[in-house]
Parts: sequence; C-alpha cells; structure tokens
Amino acid sequence: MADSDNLDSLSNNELRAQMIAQGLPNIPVTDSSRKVLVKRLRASLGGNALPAASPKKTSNRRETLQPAAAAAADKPDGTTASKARRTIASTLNETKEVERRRPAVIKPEAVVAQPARAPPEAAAAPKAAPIQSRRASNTERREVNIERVIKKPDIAAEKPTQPRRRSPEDPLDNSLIILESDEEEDEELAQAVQNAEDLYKHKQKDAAPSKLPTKLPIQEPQRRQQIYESQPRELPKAREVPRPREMTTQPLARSQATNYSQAPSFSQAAGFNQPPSRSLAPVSQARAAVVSSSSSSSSYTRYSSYVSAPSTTYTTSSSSLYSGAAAAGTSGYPRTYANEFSDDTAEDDDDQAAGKAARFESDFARKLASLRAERIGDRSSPYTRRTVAGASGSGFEPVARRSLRPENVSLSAQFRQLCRSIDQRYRVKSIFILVVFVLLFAAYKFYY
Amino acid sequence: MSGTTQKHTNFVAEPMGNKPVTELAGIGETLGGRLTDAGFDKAYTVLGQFLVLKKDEELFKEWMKDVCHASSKQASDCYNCLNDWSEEFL
Repeated sequence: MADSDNLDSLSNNELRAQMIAQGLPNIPVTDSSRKVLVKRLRASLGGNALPAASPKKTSNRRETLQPAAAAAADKPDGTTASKARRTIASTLNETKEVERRRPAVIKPEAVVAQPARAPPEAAAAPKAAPIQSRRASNTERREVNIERVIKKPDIAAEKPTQPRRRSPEDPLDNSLIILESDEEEDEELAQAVQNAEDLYKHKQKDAAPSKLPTKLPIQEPQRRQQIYESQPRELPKAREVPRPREMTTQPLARSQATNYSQAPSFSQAAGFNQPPSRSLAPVSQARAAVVSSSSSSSSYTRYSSYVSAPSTTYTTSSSSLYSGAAAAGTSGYPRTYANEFSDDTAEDDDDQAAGKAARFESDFARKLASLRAERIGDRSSPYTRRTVAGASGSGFEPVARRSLRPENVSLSAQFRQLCRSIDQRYRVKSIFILVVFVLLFAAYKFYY
Repeated sequence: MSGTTQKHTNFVAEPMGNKPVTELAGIGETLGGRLTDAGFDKAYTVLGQFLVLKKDEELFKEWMKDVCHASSKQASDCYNCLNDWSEEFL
C-alpha cells in the first residue's frame, strides 16, 4: 500500500526509471498511459509474473513455454494472493510448463508426484489445484490411450482372422458363380459329351453288343458298377444339385421337343438323379435311366442341366436305336418326380430355401441353356451328321476331348474334307495335271 | 477471431486520415463519446496511444478499459484493428 502511494506520487520520469529497474520494457510514461503503467509496475513490484506475462503475449502469443520459464524464475519470491488473477494465470502456466517438460514415460509417477509438488506452488493460489487435478486426469487419459495402443495390435491381429474364417465359407456361397467360368463350362461340356458317348456306347452294346464292344473306355465297367451300387442310395449332394437341373431341363426339353418327341422325357429322366433309384420300371428301362443319370450325376454340377441337353440331342440322333428305352424313361418319369418332391419336403427345409435359390438361378440357367440349345440346334446338322457318321462307320474315339462345336473337328479331317469338296467342285486334280503339262511344255519351249 | 468485422476491414483498408475514433473497430457511439471526453477525438490519437504503449496488447487493452470502460471484446477489437492497420501502413 505504501508502494502504491509512492508510485502515484512519482513523476513520469521517475516512474519510468523504476519500471526499467524492475525489468519492465522502457515505455514512455505519459499522462494518458500513466495509470496503466503504474498498475503494471505495482503488479511487478508486489509480486511477480504480471510484467513477464504481458511482454510474452505481445512478443509471440502462441508460445507459452518461454514466459512460463521466466515466471518460474520469479516464482521463488512467492506468489501473493493479492495479485489474484495474474498470479493465478502465471502459476497456471508454470504448472503446465512443468508437466509438459516432464517426460511422458514416467506418467504414473508424475501423477503421484504432482500433488506432492503442487502444494508449495499452489498453496498461495488455490485455483491452481483443480487445474493440476485436471492435468492428472489428462495423464490418466493418456494412460488409457497407451492401453488402447496396446490393445490395438490385438484387434489388428483379430481382423485378419475373421476374413479368413469367412473365406472358406464364401467359396461355398459363391460356388455357383465360380462354376460359371469358361474352363469349368468347357470341362462340363466335354464331360457331358463323354458321358453321352459312354451312354451311347452302352446303349449300342445293349442293342447290338457286337458293334462297339472294344471301344469302351476301361473305366466304364467300374463306373457302371458304381452306379448300380450307389443309385439305390442317392447321395444327398447329388440330389441337391440336380434340382436346378430339373428346372432347366424342362424348357430345354421343350425346345427339343419339336424335333424329337421322345427326347424331353428322357432328358428329364436323365436330369433327375432320383428317378432311376425309385422307379419300379422294368429292368431294361431302369438300366437306361440309370445310365443316363450316371451321365449327369457323375459330374454333380448344375451345368449338367445344360449337359443333359446335348446328351438328349445326342441320344435322339440315334434315337432309332433305343427309342423304346426313352419311352420307358417317359413312363417311369412321373412317379419318380413325385417321389423326389416328397423326399425333399420330408428331408430338410434347407433344401427348400436352396430350391428357391435354385429356381431363381434356373431362370438364368434356363435362358443360357436355351440359348445354347438354339445354337446347337443351328449347328445340329453337322453335329448330328457327324455322330450319325460315327455311328454308321468309323465309330468314336472317346479318348479325345470333344465339345459340341463343329470347329473342334480335327484339323486333318477338316483339311481332307475341304480338299474333297474342292476337288468335287472344281476338279482340281485334272486342272493340276493340266497345269503341269502346260508348264512342262512352256519350259521345253523356253530352253530349246 | 473467427473473422473480421466490416468495420475492421474498412478501417484497415486505407490510411486513417482524420477519421473519428468511432471509425475504429470495437468503438461505437458510447465509447467514442467517452474517448472524446478523455481527449481522444480522432482515430490517430488512439493510434498514438497505441504506439506510445509500444503496441503492447496487455497495456493497450488495460488502457482502453481504463479510459473508456471498454469491455474485453471491444478492447481487443480495437487493438486488432490498430495493430492490423499499423502493420499495413507503418
């Protein structure tokens, strides 16, 4: 109080001198600014940090560290409660400063140490305590963060595992889509043709055993045995798969029906794995059905629906041989159809869901199959011709992988055919001989 | 500090000339009257005080509060206005 009186009584020059002595910036003391400057001088004399605090803010506002350090230098004098606001602010800065400089590693210690250290600093300024507690909470928060950081790797480790878990399932879900790849399709196609040929050969053997007994593949008897054994007890897998087949085969069969009335029924019978096992048809008929089903069931894929269509065309091409058997398939069909449905409903509800999906798929598959069937129908003339020719004359080579497309006729055969056709049309041989003679004549004339 | 007022931008845009104190940002009719009573009738006189205090924010704000009983916001607005102007034109 005495100081303040003294300051008020001082002249401007004296006041300025005292300010400089206090380490305050040399600011001209004017009548207008005197009040403010006296206030600051009083603050600096009485306690402390105010003078240091203000210059810091003017110099660079955002750096709080340096002024805090300066304040720390003043601190030993002790803070007075009378300088309330400013001192609190300064102590605040100090505490922040101190905590910032403390290494982050020793945080648990810091939390304990701060309250211990705090009282000497904050005793004068009681408001500093809550701030410190806040700081402590901050540190706690940081610890939590550390824990999170520790936990994160675990999460990261877990994440990869989940996709892995899913991955094995996904193929199952997407298996249908995967099946649509061209290679698969081609394989199916080839297999279908193979099966059809097997079937055909088997039929031929039944009808005329003397015709192609030697050309059967070695596996054939084994497979037939398997089929005969396995057919009575159908594999659930096999039964699930043929469902789409049944959906697709019907339209397909319808498309084929215009040409061959016998075909559709037979193809349907072939499409179902079920029928042969359940049908009480005569032995020969059952056999035919079994063999036809073997052609499709051996593959166990939904493309067998498509597969069955070629087989029908194939069989129908030689339908004259065993139209009776096909008819038998027709007769056996309706009963088995009912059987299968009853079985499915009885056995599992999951199958129904799958059946819906299958039905939905069957739209696509049906379209695809019908498209294919049309194309095949367009090409059917060469194909049937080929098969008929094979049946009549040279026979088949089951070893070679075939598709239904006529392009896959061996190159030599194509070339031969081309030569033959050209020869037929233009009489190349005679022309060639003629040209040779002309050339010889020309050479003779030229050299002599 | 989200943005500057129209008054601020207008004042900082050009030399202050003989503008009255009320042209300063943060100083309206009331504060302008008090400042005028205290002898600071022109903006350049306030600028002079601002310069005499060596652009010290704390001191200038204190002075503003002391002279015309300005609020903290008014004081800081005025300070920012003069500071920006001086950075532009000094």
